[in-house]
Amino acid sequence: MDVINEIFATNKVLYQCACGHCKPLTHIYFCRYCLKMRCKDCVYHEVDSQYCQHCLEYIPTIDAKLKKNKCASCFQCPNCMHTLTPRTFLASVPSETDPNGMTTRKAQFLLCSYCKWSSKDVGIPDQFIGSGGWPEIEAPNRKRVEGLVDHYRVIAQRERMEKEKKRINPRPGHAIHLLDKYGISASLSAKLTESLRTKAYSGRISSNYLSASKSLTDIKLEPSLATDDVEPLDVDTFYNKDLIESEISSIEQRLMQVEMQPNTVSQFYPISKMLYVKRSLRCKECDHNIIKPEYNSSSIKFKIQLSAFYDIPEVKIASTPKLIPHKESMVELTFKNPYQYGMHVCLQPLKDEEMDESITGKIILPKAEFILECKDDTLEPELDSTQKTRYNDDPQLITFRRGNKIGLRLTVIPEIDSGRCRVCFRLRHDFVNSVVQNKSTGGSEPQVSWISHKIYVDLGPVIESKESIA
Amino acid sequence: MTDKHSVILEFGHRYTKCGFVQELAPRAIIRSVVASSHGKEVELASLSGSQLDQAFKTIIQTIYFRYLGVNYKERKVILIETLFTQNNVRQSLINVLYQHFEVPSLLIVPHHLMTLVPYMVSTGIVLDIGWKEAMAVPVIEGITLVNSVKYTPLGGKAINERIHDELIDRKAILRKNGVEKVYEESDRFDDFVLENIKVKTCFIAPFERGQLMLEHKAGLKEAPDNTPKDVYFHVDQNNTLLIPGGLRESAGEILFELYGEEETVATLILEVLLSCPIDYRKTLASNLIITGGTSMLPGFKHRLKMELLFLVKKIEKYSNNIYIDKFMFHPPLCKENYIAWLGASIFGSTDVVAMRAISRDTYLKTKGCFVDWSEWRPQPLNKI
Repeated sequence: MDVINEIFATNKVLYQCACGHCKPLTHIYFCRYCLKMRCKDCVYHEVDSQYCQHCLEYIPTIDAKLKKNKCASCFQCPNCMHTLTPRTFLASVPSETDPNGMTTRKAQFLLCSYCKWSSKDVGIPDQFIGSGGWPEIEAPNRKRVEGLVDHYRVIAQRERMEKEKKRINPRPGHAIHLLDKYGISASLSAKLTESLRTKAYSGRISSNYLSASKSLTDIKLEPSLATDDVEPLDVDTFYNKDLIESEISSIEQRLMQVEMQPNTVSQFYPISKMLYVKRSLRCKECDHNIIKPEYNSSSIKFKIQLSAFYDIPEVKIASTPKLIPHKESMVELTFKNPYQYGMHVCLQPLKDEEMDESITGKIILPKAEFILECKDDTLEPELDSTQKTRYNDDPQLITFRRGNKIGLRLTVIPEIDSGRCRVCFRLRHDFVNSVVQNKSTGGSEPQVSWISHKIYVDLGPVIESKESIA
Repeated sequence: MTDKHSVILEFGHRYTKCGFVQELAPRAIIRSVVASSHGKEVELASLSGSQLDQAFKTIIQTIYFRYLGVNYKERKVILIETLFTQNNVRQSLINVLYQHFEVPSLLIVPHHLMTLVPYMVSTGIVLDIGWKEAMAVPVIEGITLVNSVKYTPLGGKAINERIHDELIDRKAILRKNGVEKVYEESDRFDDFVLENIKVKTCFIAPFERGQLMLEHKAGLKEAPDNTPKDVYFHVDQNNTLLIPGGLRESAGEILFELYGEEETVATLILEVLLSCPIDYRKTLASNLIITGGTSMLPGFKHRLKMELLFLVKKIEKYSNNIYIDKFMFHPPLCKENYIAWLGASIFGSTDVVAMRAISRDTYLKTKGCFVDWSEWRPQPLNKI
């Protein structure tokens, strides 16, 4: 486990995303359209499709909405939350054709294979196959709540009408009112004032008519009645009887069934499985999809997957020497090109304004540009002897070259006396965009652009020299 | 947009409720916690600043994708908040919802008024007794009497602390890996175990019994006999706790124990009555609405009624000022821990949301400046 963490979840080398967060390469996406790094905080997350994690059935969004995001056929144990398995058996039932005879029919009950809870335990009748799904429990006071919704809708509507009336009506009324007030109406023609008056009047009429269209009397709903008759504690049960802890439901079990919140295990009811969501991610800037999974719920493949580790050179620490404060030490970093095109890479120091407090070491970067070969799965690096001679590598700088991977020796000077030494540099490389075609060349040539990333490398703790303490 | 039901969120100190308008119950009630970088759970209430923003981002994302299965850009949001929601929490939530999730519009509704909605009453006292505190809010004809709001730190958390203390005092026996020992401070279980001890075994004793326990605590009398039966509580595979019967009845007493000037849940209501207009006291007393998860303890309401009747007759402070012999409770329309949510669900299915909600454009125009709950419209930043 530790080895895997070391390789995949290492926080030693962090890439800065376009939104400023620093994340390991495996947590970063690379949008090929706007050529920027994206992390989970700066992309839109969207529901792509929904499926049941148990039966793996893809459920269209509209169905999922109707079923309240629940699977119609899979259930969860209300006791231990494990998936319930339907058990089929032959039950004898009165025959339909012969009133005295009995026939057998296939029936089902639900059983938890983990804690052995079954729908028989709590008295839920067995279901005959083909008779449809398990009955759903009705939430209490459904009718009342629906009535309340209607009631408040009328009130809200009335409120809106009044607001609109205020907004619309005063205008015609206002004008005529002003005319009257200053005695101007007398000087105007009778025809004009008359038409103004009718306009004002009709406006008022129409809104009155609307608000009267529905009234509260249509919905006969009494407000809740308060009572001082409160149910007292069942003294006998609580004081004289033994309480068996396993018969009482826990808070987690209660909250699994929000509507009923059963107090005892005997009131449990199978819980429909909640649907799971396959997410797609979209770039916030250019609205292109970054991740789009396939609809098939059992498939783990993606239609679109723009993860950074497919496009961006991966930086790793190959070896760190002893880091002595304020002294030069040589660090070996490896660079690996995961992309299908070769890359020209150069390392650049940070500008002064980009420096921050977390950087605790200075790194001396080579001025030269070097080439990373493209990823070639068919190539066997050990056999490719020409590679070494193909590039005129400086052996002082480049320690090895193997396929799409090279090692680089760099000088680091820790600038702290204790703590971890973190260095930061910019990785600049060209990127041949195979997705976006260059428009100026008529779409035949892929577009080449230079991009750069800010990379933080945590080299580990410095050695606190004993002499300096003494 | 109209056929897409708005999302209702309520972030409590302990539990977060989420769901859609026009539904009868929240889709899920989850704990208000997020996983920290060390894999431990951190309560939302304990965070602040950018950590809180990050926590809200995480929990809202979980809510949308795990429990609701909808896109946040498509749904309006209704947020329920209490009177005492801290400004930084509200600001953080507003920022996260508008800026990070880009919700089309947001409406913040006050918890105590939403609680009244399912009952169709406009005058009453809302007693909310949840995790962190108990709070009594008087509402007269839809107007909140903010000056008369009373609160006290009694709630689920206080009971949990009491259970822990009593386990030590009563020398509860813990069987750890087959070895029996006495429960000590170092054995402290986390809040979830204590909460389950409360939910599974504890109850609120009847009034007379409560008086006996109080007298015993004051040293006047012997401990009352005929205590409830002890219960074996299985904490996990290796630990079994024998919960003393006395604890079962006395843990909840913390809500009703009156020492000197301290508040109990019952005095909270009477204090509210005292500070309300005299003409309305009777109406308020006959319109009590109880909400909050802690009020779901068996026997709570009955005990509260008896306590109120006792205090109003026997304690001079109240008997000289309040002449009420009847306290009336509204029977709950749903489980007590999501009444306000249900209210918002009903309220949110009307046109009101479209009228009162603040759209994202308005938010961006006003540069995100919001005022207090009573008038929560954004104010433009004109003042320099």
